[in-house]
Amino acid sequence: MNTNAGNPELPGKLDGIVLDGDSVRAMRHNMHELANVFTGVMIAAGLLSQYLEGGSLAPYASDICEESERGSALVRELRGQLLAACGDGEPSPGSLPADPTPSQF
Amino acid sequence: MADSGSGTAVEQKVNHCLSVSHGTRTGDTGTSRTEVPITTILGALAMEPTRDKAEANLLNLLIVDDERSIREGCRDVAQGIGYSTYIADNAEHAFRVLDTTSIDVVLLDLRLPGLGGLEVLKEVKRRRPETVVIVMTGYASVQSAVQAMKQGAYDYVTKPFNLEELRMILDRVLGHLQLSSENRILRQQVKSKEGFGAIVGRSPEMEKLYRIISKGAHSSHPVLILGESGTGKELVARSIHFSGPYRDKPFVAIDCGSLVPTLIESELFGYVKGAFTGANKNKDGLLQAADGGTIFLDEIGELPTDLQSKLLRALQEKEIRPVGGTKAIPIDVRVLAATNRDLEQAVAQGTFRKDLYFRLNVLSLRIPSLRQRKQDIPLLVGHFLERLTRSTGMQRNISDDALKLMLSYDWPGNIRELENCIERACALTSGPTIHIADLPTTVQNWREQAEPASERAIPRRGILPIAEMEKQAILGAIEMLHGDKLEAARLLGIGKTTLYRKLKEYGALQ
Repeated sequence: MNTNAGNPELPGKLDGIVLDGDSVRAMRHNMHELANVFTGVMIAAGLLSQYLEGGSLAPYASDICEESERGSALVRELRGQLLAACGDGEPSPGSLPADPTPSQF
Repeated sequence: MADSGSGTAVEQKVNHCLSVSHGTRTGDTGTSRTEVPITTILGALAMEPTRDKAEANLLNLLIVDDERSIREGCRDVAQGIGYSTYIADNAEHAFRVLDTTSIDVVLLDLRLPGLGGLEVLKEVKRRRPETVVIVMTGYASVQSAVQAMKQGAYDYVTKPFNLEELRMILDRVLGHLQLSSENRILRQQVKSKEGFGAIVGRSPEMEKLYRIISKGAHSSHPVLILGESGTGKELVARSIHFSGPYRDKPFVAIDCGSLVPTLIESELFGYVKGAFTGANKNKDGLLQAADGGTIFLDEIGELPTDLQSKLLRALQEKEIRPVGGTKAIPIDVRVLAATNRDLEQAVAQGTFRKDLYFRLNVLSLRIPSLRQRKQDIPLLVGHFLERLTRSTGMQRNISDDALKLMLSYDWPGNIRELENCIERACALTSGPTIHIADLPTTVQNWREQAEPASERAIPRRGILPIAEMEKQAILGAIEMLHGDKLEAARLLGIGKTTLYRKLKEYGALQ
């Protein structure tokens, strides 16, 4: 798979990384933690945004909402990739695309 | 923590008000931190167009997540919608809340420390099958969501989710529960149109009975059902069983009065191979067949004394010993018993064990006789005619005169006699309308007693037809002897078969 398209800084030899079960588990765990973090941020930011609506501080709250939405979208995307590479059952060695584009991170 | 897992919804709301009045929000760790007063945020949320807060206020929501920020965020959003909220950070805490509070909705994280979310879901559904569970899953994994739905989850939401997604799902649950509640009310209305379950009647006496049945249905105590022959004791027993938590378990009815005394024991307790001649294999008893459900012991007053003690032991020890067996078998059955005899008198006479009477008489209800609720007669007549129309395909109705006469009659055989009367009239009538002439002679002859003397061509006050005198003598004797038909036949000087034939004729045979 040519995973280097649109990313001239990464050499083509980084075509894929083979992950063992422990690595998959660790990545899943981290994804879950990230999802939790973003859920907490998005709900708190949403509440705050409503409270500050119309005030001078409202744009900041709105920024937190937007940025946390972006972060959440990235988590979903990464999770999708992990899912595609390793499935959702008991972790087994799987390969993960090693060329995340700048828009993904 | 701000919302303790125990206590009532009212207490929760009071706690919440206390915590927000100081402008602080307390975390699960017990530490306080100054924040934006939550009341202000909730006030802002209350301005949001959402469902009627008062409606949602009826619902208790339990949020189970080990992440403090998620728990508290979800709680604040749910409170803004109007839910009463409870929070728990682990499975054990969640179970404690479920045990002490009537939770309607659970928002459950699938990934919990200790017992996993799916296990918690299973347990929630086991403890409170009607509770709506929304699972929060972190993996976007179809597998875990499908598994959760299979185990009874109502919906799932994938982390990370934002305020709007959360509000949308909570609103959806609210809509779902409102619909269920409306359906329930509708079903209740349909039910009360005629009666309760299969029981027909709207008289105050019956309304009172339905209330008792409803209470009895939701307990596991024995119920003693009292009522004259033909009042529908088995129907009441079935209603108790099928409107309570045992509805999916077996309902086994046994008529202690119709079983040959020598067979009652083996019928009730079962037998082992070789226990007696013909016992060539083990057979489970009816008590065992009802295990986990309800056993209905009709005509319990007819149970021989020696079996009364055996039954008492089985109920007390919750185990039975089959005939010829040495090993005790544990049983878990709810007992409903019925009789038309005066058991208190039977206890006083020594024909019924006092301890068994007390064991069975934890809850008792008396079914009114038909003459005590004559206003239900038109409804019952309509019900039986409708049923016959369904089974025969022939539309029938009843003339005003016939109905008037039926309303004046005393119906000693109660509903069974009325049912029998309608069936007979439908079979005999040549047209679509039932007239007085189609009714049984006992009912027709009643007219002569019921009609005022001025309406009759020849005054016949005090004169009873022989058939009516005979009926009164038979029914009166049975009543005086508290249902002992054999003794009644002996004292009346007629054969047992004749007595049963007569009772069948009167529609008074149970």
